[in-house]
Amino acid sequence: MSIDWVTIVLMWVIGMISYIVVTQKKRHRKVLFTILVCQAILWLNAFIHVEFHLIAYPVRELPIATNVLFTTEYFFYPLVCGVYLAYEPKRRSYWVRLFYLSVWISALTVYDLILAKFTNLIEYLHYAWYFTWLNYFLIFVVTNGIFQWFFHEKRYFQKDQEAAK
Amino acid sequence: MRREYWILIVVWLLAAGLVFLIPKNRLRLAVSAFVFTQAITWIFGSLVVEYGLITYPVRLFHVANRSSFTYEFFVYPIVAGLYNVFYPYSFSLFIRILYTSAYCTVLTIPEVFIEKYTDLIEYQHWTWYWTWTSLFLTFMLTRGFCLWFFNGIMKEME
Repeated sequence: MSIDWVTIVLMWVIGMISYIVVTQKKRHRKVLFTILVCQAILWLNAFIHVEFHLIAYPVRELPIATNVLFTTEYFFYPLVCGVYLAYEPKRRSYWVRLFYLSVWISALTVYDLILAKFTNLIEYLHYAWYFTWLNYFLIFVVTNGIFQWFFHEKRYFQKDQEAAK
Repeated sequence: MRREYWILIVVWLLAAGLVFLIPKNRLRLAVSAFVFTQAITWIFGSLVVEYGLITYPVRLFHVANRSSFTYEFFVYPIVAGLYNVFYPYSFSLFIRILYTSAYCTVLTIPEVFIEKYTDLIEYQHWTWYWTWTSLFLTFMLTRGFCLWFFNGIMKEME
């Protein structure tokens, strides 16, 4: 098995374990909601990047159906966003949260660069690391915003709950 | 511009118009159903194309993918959102099955015509009743997700 497929399998295994084990049980729904929102944004985002030849994914799971790598865009990066948001120090000042976000984004960018450099999973065609950084920064901020809107008031859930009986 | 692109524009506008039907106090339910449905359609829509069951000759994001972005990213998730928001949970099982069937039928009939008369969809190894059945299962799945999600969410918010 090539390094590409080992990486793919590792991402799924590590991702699954961290969702089940690292995520506290009382956070499962919140983390899942974050994953789903981030996934939807990454879907559009990845399509735009591939469509305009900014990034390519030479080795991928469904090579006929799509030119996008599923493991990172569908599963792993949304999960990273979910874990980031679950442990965000929400009561601290904006500066602390900004710093916290920057650390996560920097780590994610380094990881993305490693994939681009040492595997065939990601290839930067007309792209640079600072675009990656900025791109994920914006996506995480938007996801964070949607999350805050969704969960900010308990009483807003009443009608939703009634309808979901 | 090709006729197919006009159809896509109309479909996007119609689906966007459906958003206004969602009652504001049930927006969260619709959003949860919407994003959950996307997670299903993205993967299954791709699998169907990967195994050559359906092709979409005219599509958005022509380079990035070979499945239908319009339907999988936007139209079907929106409809699934509506489905969950107006689900007749207090009615009998018969009514609920009828309700789900109505949604499947309303989505399947236009698809059959679009398949027949345009290049937007081509059934390779596929038939309308596969569409209908997969829609039925997906609707039930989104419903199950919403039940699970909203029945436990209060505990997580404390």
